[in-house]
Amino acid sequence: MTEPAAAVTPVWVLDAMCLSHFARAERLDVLRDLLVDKECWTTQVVLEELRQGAAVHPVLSDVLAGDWFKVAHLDTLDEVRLFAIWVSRIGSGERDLGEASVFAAAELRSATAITDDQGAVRVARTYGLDVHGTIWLLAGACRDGKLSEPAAGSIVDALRVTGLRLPCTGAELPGYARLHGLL
Amino acid sequence: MIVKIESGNRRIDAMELVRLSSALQVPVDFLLRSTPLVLSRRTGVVTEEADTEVAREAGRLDLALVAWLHEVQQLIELGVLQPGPLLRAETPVNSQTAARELALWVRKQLGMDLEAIDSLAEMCERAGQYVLVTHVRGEGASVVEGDVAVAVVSLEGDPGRRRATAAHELGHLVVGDEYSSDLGVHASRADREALLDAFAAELLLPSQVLTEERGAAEAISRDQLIGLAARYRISWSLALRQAAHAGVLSAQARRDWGRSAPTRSEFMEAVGWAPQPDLEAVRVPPRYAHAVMEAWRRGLLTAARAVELMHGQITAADLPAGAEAYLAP
Repeated sequence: MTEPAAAVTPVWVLDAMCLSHFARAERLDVLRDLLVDKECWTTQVVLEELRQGAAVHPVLSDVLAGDWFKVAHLDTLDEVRLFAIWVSRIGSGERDLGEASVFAAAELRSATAITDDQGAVRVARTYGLDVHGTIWLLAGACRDGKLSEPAAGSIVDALRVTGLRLPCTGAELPGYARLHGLL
Repeated sequence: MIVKIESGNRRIDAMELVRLSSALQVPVDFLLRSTPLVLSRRTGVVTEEADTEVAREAGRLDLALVAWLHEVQQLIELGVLQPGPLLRAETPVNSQTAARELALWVRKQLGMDLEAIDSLAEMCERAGQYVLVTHVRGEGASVVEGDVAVAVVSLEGDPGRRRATAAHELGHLVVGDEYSSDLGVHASRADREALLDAFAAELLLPSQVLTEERGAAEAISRDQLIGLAARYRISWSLALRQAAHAGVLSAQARRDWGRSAPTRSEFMEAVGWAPQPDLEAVRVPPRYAHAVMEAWRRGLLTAARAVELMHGQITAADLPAGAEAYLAP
């Protein structure tokens, strides 16, 4: 008789865009609750980007104080090398460095990277990384029964107000998610 | 700190690497890739002392050169750029006369006769050398690493000088490695640089062009020389030097004409137009630029990275829209 396979906890690495817009929309606690059954990571580079951003948006300090995610420092030679490889694919602008660090951390952990930067998503997928955006995250929460569709829609609208570019409005979310097989 | 990192006594994390590369003004991967041992540099005389302005300039030039080498290597590793064979002299070049003959041989190898070189970046690329024109002090530098040859040319200074520098750096490639050629053993650095200047001058404006322009006259006229300088897009000083070498200009005329370069109105009068600068809007070689675009189209690079690799030749707005529209969520 074989032992039942142990449930594997999904590992996700969140980028600055995801964390900062949830914080600015005052929904950081919602994000934390939605991801409670995930092993969540972000990177030191992302936190540094948010630290800089806190000068303009003080609410970003809430992210820095968070204890529900782990922080990848990328501090072994192999990790730093992988980070540099991703920088050479994504770019070296401030936001690009954050994305590159997220992809390096995700690759090292065979994890899912979460970002809504479409240019970065396209490149990361070319190299075989599992990358998804906020709509995928919220639709998944609806599918798992953690969030109602209207509640997810209201989060989408709140995030759009903060300037996050998303492919649908809150009202369009159910239709969009079904179109892409997420619901 | 670097010594400690190298010896394994200190770890560096991604954030420190970013800060370090920012302070040194080099790409993030610069400190992690190998650095070629031998670089050639066309600049002032570099002294042994590190803390001089000239040495610092030379250091920056070397950093720019190695960073450029890494960029070319990245495109090769991605499979979007196939470096062609390097054009190398078949016999040792140990005199200015031999260097001038070599320049004509290079022209022939690249399918050119005596016509003006339209784009020097394109010509160098066909000879196997990728030239980057960039904001860096000094004049130029080049290196060969394996089967990849690259050069950087400073955007500062006049356009004619830039072409001369690019041609000089091509000379380094074609003549051969400075420390492995016969020349390097016997000749001083100054002699070797003079030899490469002769190569560059003959490549840009072959002496035969000057003698043909003079025709049956005793000497070339100033208007004729201005016309050649415009068509061959060379500096006035190089035109005078080549004319003197070709024997179509007296020593007195060289001195007199050398006191002032032709003005725009003199160019207009002599040829009806003012020369357009080479190596200005075009910062990277054409096949390299195509490779960057190909890498971007295939999703191997973001638009932001593609723009970085194009060194100011394009902006994000120049890239076709649509490739980075919303993808599957």
